[in-house]
Amino acid sequence: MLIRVRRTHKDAICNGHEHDPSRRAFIRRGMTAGVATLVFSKTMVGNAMAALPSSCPQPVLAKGALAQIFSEGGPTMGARFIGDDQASSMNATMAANYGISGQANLVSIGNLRVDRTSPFGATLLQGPPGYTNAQWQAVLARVSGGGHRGQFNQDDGGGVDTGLLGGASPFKSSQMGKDIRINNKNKLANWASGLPSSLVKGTPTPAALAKVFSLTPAAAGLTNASAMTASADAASALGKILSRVFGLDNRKGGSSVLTATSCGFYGSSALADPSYGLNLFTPANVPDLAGIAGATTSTDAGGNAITNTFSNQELALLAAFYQSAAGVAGGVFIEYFGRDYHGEDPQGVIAPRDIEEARAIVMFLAACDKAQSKGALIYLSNGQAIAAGTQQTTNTIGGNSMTLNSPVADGDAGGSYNAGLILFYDPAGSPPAARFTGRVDTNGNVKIDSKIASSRDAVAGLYLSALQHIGADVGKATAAMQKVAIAASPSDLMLF
Amino acid sequence: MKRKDSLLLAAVVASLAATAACQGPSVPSAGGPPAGAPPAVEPGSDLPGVGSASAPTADGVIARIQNTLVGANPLAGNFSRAVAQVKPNLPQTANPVQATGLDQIPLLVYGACSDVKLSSYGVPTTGTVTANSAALVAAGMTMLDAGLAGLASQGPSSADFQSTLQGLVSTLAADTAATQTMTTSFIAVCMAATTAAVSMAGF
Repeated sequence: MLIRVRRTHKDAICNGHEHDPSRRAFIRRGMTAGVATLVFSKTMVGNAMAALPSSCPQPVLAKGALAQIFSEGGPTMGARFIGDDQASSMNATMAANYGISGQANLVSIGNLRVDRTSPFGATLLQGPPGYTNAQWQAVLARVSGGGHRGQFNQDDGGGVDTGLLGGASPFKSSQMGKDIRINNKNKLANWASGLPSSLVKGTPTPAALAKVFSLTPAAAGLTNASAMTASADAASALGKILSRVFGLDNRKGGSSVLTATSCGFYGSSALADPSYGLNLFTPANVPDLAGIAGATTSTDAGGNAITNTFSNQELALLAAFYQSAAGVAGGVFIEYFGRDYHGEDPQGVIAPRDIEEARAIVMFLAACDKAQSKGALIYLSNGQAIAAGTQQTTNTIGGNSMTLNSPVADGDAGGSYNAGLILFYDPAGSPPAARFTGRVDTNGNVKIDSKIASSRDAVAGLYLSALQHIGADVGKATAAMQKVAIAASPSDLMLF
Repeated sequence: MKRKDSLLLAAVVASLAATAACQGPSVPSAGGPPAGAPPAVEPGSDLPGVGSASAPTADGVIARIQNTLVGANPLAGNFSRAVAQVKPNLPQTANPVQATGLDQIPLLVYGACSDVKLSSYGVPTTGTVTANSAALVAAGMTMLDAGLAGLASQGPSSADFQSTLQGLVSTLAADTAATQTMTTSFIAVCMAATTAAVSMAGF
């Protein structure tokens, strides 16, 4: 009779015939297990480490620039971009309230209008160094715009922390997998909080941007890309163990913390190349930008050469926007402080600041042109100053001295005219026919569209429109917004 | 010769593990508790409620790195320079959903790891990664323990921590893309262990 005894694998190890194994048996058993350990661990660990975790946004070089300029304070928004409807109903009162010279000087940039004698308009029309006037006009012809009017109606610091800054990564895929934030100080939109980004503080220059995208100390002899990647693999694996130990999957935000850290670690391996940052943010080192990087002139409408030079800040912005357009970086988000215009000097404060922001927009459009990429730029402020007409000033635009009609900012008037604007660029010359929401009265004041009740909704709509235009993942962004109770009906908020 | 050494080392480790597994429930094993023993309890699993994780804020990150690494001083050396560069990008809020800048932690850790002397962890500065594999893994475990109050070597997941670090060292030893020295390997282990201890525990 055969008696069967139920045994487990432990019985085979511990209760074999040899309870006290000989040295030879001990080694033999170990050799078998050792080979198995090496073979299996190498296969399993190798496979696990080769792939980027699916929880991380996969690096993709997808073209499409996305940027935002947040003009913190309350500038004379009416002296920047206005829509067709505002231009066609322009009268002396409205022009004075906006701080522009009047209908006769309005010129088209797509379906937008600017005053060609204003600091803002003249800067946009002059264009960047290295372009002839005809070349720049061709770029401007590929632009359209739209916006939500009326929601951004606070001044003197009011509303700055209502989430007026958004984000692009990971809705917009990029090689770097993160956004570039320049002087972002105020609160991000709820749906954008925690998105991967790198912050640059102070005046952005190519060197300042490069420094954020480099290692300290330099990598030479200390690390390299493959060591960093292997280390990131191991850190992620350790994180998973810790997640199990501390139950992070079941704790609010636990997986977010883990994912953000480990995905960022993977992204850091590129920084092991000491020239990585400088090559990204020095236009002379970027083949598509090298042709204009050293330019010191452009031409005016008459074909005459004029002085037009890049500042260091403009070079940095040109390169950053380009990297977003080329798909290396996510979005570029800039906050300009001190734009509370009421009572400020038109010559010394208002005109230079309008020129600075318009030059940033010029750099954005030039970057899109050079990258041959679609682009969307969101442009807003938390408030607005009403104007009392204009004042003649003399200012320089890229070193070119000009006589301008600068707005005379009178007082806070958040509720009069203000807008969250967006510019669309399409290298094929077919930017979307975007709309403006909000109704403008004969004084230029705005009544908001009831479907876009707050600046929170307006910002969401601007971002969804931007992402839609550049072909990014609108569904993912919508889901993130809906998670924080925004954009229940995205089409109500989007501009096309 | 190198492969023979590896096999021999693996054989010894596996034999010890097999023998240890036979010694009863008092010795934790990678394969789980012995039959009949109560399941190992992870720390905190008996606490009521689920709660939220936390993100470490900038000052917390810097202090934890200092606490984790022997010889890392945020006021001196590369660590201080990395702090100056990276600190504005580190999380400013403990809210794990709103915190940004967690991706910058490995960059700061790198600066700190570059200041740490290999000898502080008994890791030779010369020799092959394979030959010094055990020392590198031990260094990583020491760092994890320092950052996690001994949890790495004493908790029920100890073997998992160990095998992950061993996997890293094996990958570095077999790297064909770049020749890994003891310095690059030590820094890689240091970055993995410290980043995990500092920022991946959810508090």
